[in-house]
Amino acid sequence: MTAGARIAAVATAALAALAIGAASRAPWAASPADRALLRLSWRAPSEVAEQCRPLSEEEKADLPVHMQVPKVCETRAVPYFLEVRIDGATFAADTIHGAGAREDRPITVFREIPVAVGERAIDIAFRPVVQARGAHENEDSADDLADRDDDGDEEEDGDGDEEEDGGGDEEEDNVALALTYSETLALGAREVALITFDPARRGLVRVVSP
Amino acid sequence: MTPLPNLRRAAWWPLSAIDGALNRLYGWRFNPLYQSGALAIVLLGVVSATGLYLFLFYRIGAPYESVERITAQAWTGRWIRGLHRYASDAALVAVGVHAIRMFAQGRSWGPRALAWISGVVLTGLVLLCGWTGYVMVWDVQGQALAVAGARMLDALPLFSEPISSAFVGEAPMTGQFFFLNLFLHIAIPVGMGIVLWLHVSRVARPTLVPPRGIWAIALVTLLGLALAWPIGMAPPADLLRLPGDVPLDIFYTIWLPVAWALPGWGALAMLATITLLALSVPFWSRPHATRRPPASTVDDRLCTGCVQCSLDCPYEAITMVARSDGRAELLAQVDPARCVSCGICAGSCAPMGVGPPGRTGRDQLSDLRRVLADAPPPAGGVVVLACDRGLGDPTAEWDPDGARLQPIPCAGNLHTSIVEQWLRAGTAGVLVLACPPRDCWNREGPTWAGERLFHDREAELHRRVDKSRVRLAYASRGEAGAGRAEVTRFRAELAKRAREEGHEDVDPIRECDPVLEAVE
Repeated sequence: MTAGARIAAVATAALAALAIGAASRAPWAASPADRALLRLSWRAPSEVAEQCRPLSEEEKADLPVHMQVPKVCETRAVPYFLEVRIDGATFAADTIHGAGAREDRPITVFREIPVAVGERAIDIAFRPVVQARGAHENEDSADDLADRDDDGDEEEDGDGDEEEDGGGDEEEDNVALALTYSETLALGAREVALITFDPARRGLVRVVSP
Repeated sequence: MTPLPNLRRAAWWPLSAIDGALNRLYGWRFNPLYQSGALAIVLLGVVSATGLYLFLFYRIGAPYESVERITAQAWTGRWIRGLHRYASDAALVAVGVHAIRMFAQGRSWGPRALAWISGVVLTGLVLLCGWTGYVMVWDVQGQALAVAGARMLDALPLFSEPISSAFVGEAPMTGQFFFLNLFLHIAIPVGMGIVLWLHVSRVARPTLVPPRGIWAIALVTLLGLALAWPIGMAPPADLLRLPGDVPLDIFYTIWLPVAWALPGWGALAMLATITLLALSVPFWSRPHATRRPPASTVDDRLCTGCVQCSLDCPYEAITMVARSDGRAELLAQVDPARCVSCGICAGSCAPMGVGPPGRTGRDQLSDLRRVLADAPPPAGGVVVLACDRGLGDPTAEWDPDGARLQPIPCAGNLHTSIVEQWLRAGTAGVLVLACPPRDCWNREGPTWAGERLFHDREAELHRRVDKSRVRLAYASRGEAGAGRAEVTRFRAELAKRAREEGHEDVDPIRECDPVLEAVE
């Protein structure tokens, strides 16, 4: 092998190594500097609605003896309506049901909404849709919810039902709260405004980086 | 022409050109592209060894800080981390080259489908391992990977609560999360060992380690890179800030910018599509049923039970079984599910009783007789028997310096009687121009050809043949210059020898007549 060929061989190996080194740290601008993010994340302190009905004789006859209970009950988390407005424009307006196939698991909220940096008026409403216990099939429209105040009758009805079933802190946690958040936030470049539920204050709060 | 051969050619031509260039630089013995599969294994071994050191200093309670401390160790941690990263990257490059070569050479379907699919799974595991590794650092790239992964998992209807809610930034990530990553980062390579076993389970004598020179050069090169260009620390992850400028390892995370811009289901669909496309290569890359080369067959009247074909088969497709016709010896039996129709068994069988239809030793003799009848070789000339995947490819367009070029399917398929017959026909010398041994489409063709021609491996070139008139050389399709140089050199040696011996040609050998008569 000639000296020139050796140099070419070493140079090729060095170039390949440099290519690996460069490709190992390729620059990528993941998020633009004029962009911030509104992130909503909480588990709803939802009310669980239970609806029971007696089994008919025919239904009982179809079941094994050990399953012939007098009544069957279905539990469902009370659905919520989430509405997010930024500078007056609606960015989310959805009914959120309980998790799981039977919708009997707690309601969780996770939304990420890109927003432009600067001062933004954030309005969040998160209200139970149900009008009364057991009537969770009747969902309100978005307009109905927007018009209702935070301490609406529906919520009070729910509270009352909970109290009749038994008292204590555990029950208070299960109360279908109506939550709202209205603030004007100054959002910097790539800043994430995290809005979550604070169990101590029983309301939506913004989590700020320590 | 159908689109698939076009796709294969599009992959093969540049690869063969690069092969040729690297052969000129390093020689075929040290061409790293020929050793890509084995090189990937060695590099992953380097990754494991360096990872062991990093594991000793990694803290799941303070991941970023512990990696930062490792990086600050000027004498050890810095270069070990760099070597860990660069060896991982180089391993993935090697895997990619290996996959492209297998696809371009049509080694991705039929009996090789298992190797292809397990290879895709192995690649997926390597990528997954890299994913967990980058998350473990918990810098901005790790953050983006974790968030992108969570979004994709959320697109699956499996979890009652969104996985993304674990990365909202309400509280620092827990040690359990990093323990899970660490566990996966270590457990996945263990699982890869099992898949690797599956990957090579259908080949005989798998090459798991490349020649020392290759892995030593690779190791020294990557070590030099780690010392000269150490891996730094990207900004730490902050879930309450969107990642800005991220140093991206494009070998492992080239998909991330696209996935980042897509919703979770879109990213998941993209990765699923790529995965399915890769996994389905054996199905859409196979030739039409009418054009698939047939598996070898055994003529049990001729089989002497010598077991040579079973020993030589690179795919363990031939087993020896007891005969049912009362003869005492064993009988070769070909498993069509494993046979790739390479024809190497045909070159191993002295009585010419095994091989793919049309390419057995007897078929080769018949073909040769026709060729010689059509165009007898000029007395004193040189014939080049070149693999048709190498310089025997009609599209290779090279000048064999006036020698007669005769394509053959594979040097391993070539029966040594053919070489003898060419010499008997008046040819001064026979140059078998094979693909470089590590680039043989049939794995071991050139190796067995050399053993049979010069080292008395069955079916050996008969001792009556003057072996100085036979030459075995290697050149890839992209090495026309090297092929021509071999011809020129061989011709010069033959001429010199003829002058020294004082005669122009060697008398023909007549002992092979019975074989020719049998063919007729």
